[in-house]
Amino acid sequence: MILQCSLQAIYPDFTLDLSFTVQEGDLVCIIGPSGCGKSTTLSIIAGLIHAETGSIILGGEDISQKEVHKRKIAMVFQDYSLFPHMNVEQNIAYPLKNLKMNKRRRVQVVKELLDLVNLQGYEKRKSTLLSGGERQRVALARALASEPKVLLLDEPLSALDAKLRTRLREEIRRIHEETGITTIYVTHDQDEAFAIADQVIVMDRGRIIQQGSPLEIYRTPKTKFVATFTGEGTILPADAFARTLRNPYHLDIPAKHRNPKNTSLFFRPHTSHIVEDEGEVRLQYLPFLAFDEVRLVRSEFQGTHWRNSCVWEEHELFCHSDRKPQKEIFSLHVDITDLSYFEE
Amino acid sequence: MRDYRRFYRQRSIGPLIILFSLFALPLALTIRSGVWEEGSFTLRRIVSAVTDSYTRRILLFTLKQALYSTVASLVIGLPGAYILATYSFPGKKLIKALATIPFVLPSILVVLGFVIFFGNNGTLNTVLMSVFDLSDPPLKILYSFGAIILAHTFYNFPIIMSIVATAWEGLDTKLEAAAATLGSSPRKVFRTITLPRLIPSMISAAVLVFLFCFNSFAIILVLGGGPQFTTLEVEIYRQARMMGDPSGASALAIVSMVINGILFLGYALSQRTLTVAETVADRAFEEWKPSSIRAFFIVLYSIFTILFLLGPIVSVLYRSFLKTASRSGKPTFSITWYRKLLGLEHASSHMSSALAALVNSTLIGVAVSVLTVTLALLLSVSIVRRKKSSSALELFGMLPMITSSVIIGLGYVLIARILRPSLLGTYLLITLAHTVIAFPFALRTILPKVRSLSETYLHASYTLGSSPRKTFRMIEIPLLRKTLLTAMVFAFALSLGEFNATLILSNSQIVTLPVVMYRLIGSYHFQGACALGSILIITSGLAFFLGEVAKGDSV
Repeated sequence: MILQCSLQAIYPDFTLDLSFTVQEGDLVCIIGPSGCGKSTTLSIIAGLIHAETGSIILGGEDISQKEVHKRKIAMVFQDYSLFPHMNVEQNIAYPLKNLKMNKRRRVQVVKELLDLVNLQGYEKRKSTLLSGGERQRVALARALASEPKVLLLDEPLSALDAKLRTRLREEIRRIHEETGITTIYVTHDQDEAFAIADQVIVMDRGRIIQQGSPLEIYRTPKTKFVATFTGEGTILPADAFARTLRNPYHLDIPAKHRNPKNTSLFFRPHTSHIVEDEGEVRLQYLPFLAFDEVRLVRSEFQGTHWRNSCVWEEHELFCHSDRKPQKEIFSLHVDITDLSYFEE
Repeated sequence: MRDYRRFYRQRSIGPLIILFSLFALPLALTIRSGVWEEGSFTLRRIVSAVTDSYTRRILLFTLKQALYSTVASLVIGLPGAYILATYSFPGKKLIKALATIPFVLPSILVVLGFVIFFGNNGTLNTVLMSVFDLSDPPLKILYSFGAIILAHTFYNFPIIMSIVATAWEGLDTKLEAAAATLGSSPRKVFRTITLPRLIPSMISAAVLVFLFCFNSFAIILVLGGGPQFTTLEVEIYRQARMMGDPSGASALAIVSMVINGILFLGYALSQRTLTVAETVADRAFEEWKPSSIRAFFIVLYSIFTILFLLGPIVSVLYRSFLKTASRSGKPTFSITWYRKLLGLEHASSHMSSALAALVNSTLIGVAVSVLTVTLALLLSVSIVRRKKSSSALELFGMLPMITSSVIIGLGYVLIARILRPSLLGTYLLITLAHTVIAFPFALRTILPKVRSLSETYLHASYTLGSSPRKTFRMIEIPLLRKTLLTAMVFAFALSLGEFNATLILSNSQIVTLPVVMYRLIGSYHFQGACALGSILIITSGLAFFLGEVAKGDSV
């Protein structure tokens, strides 16, 4: 079901004012720094907090005045919140009882859900003795058991270690594809968001800064905040563009950004190429900009690549390379298609 | 969120009305009866309560015995606090556990334990007589001023010991180390660095003990043994019950409440300064060295504490199994007192009502525990979940603690004068009075656990489609089950041992365990009293044990 939210509320730290739409069956990630209001947004959608004004329209019906337990919006909490006095089966069967399901059917559904989350045979385990990852799966199964129209996940993996996070986010994506439930997933980790989301919403101080596909967000951030929050990159004032760049293809700033005083130029570190020897032949010949006399400050090995911090004129530049740079001074080429612009 | 806050708000209305009528109504009647004469307001009774030479003597004696008892408790308790806070030694855990005994022991049991342990024919004298081959009991302390102070000290020095020891253990020892590196001698470090930080806890503990001794009733009534040792509370009982002058008793009650209020305010203020906590990672205790002179004192103090705290209780249990054939005969082991108690054997005088007392006390206890815990649970969840005006609610719930049980009993006497209840009705009034007395304790047990219960359990339940009512029933109550059970046992034990309010409300037909024990002690029928007392010891012990277990686990 399509979910359309328009919410306004005033809090001590920020003022929440946002509206967005989640398409049927999509998995939308909301990312943003802590305290930006992303968890609050989830709580408002679930009905645990009330916004002062606004509407939450689910499948054409405004549910913003409905009681929490009648909304059919399930939520997976950061701390899992498995009921400690119930075992795994009882936890998952808990919402089934609200659906007026008979006992035999309940046992059957619990089994199916445990299959779905890869916890076959866990029915009688004590919920307090499960590992973090297992708890998370049970919490997910329990939320799905309530047959929600929308599933909300509030930083579901933040309490787990890095390896487990990667594995579980794959599973969450798989389960999402199998069930097709409209899902909103809150995280502060952009990698997680890029990995599983159909759409990403970037929030800051109670407002939505940008909504788009992971690729759009990463490649063409609309603001400096989005650019730096979603990863590393080089930000240059656009007047440098005209002044000091070697510009063999005579490129210019796109017309709509042609106000050099407050426009910035931005590119991601992996889109730039180090050219140590001018005679070097590049395979792809796309129009590019060239930065000359770039001085290497530090080179860090990252496993798949080297991450290089450099200085060009008085600006800091970041670039990745497959090999460790051999020279201290080199040129940096950036393909024109990898450049983006934003106003300060 | 709105909807579930409303749910809890609705749940709090009933208990608030009930609590208000259970507590505020008798209190209002007491105040009215104290300042109302022939249809008009008057302060005559209160003024005469303070100025009249008879009552002024009582008031002064009450303050004097409380002061003496407090000083004695400090003298005995402070070395214990020092030992507990400084050393680790075998038996330390036992002493810490024993120190909580007075908190759960009914006062009538303390009285009985004292008579049995320190009495002329008591355990201590018997042991001393056989060891030193004496023909006369060497210690004759019962029924005197000294007995009152001694009993109060027994009852209260562990309070001083544990409060001050806890505060002491919470002190950051790095400050002492810092002072030492700055050139202070150990003596000077103690005087200038340690002591000033301990004084708030000492004041706090001392005020609390003073408060307890000021309101002491059973100990004075029995161990004082005469009109020359009458305190305010005993006088309230005497005027209300024996002289049939509830108005005079009410005037005294108002005086007592004012003094209590001032003392409690002092306690609350000293508590506030206590909350300035120091961050201390892990306190290192000095290992004890068995050969040192300090170790000698530790052993001496430990033995003394264990003897002093356990002696009376063990004596009561032991005595309940003894039977003396004739006045001079040797006592033999027997369960005859328990058979008499259960009505299996013919019993005379007060012992014949023991079974009825046991049944009555049990029934009252069960009713009190259910009522108290239900009210405390509903008030707790509404305090925690509704946020608004929660501290006012909490304060209201704690109010009965500042009112002594004798005064609560007096309030119910005044209600009884209006209602003129039947025998069953009187038992009902006793049950309600017990509920008021037990309520703050139940609230103090339940409220912190409700606070620590993560609200996301409730949120999870709502988002899974359960209504607030269903969530309360299926999630909240089951998660609090252990705490509720503990509170119920506590309330049951409190009710079972409640003596003060019961006595002032009772007539000759009313029998509960403590009242029958009092009558048995009054007629020197100690073994029977011990059999009844053993039942109280076991229930108090159970309450204590459950309380300790519940402390360990968290939701």
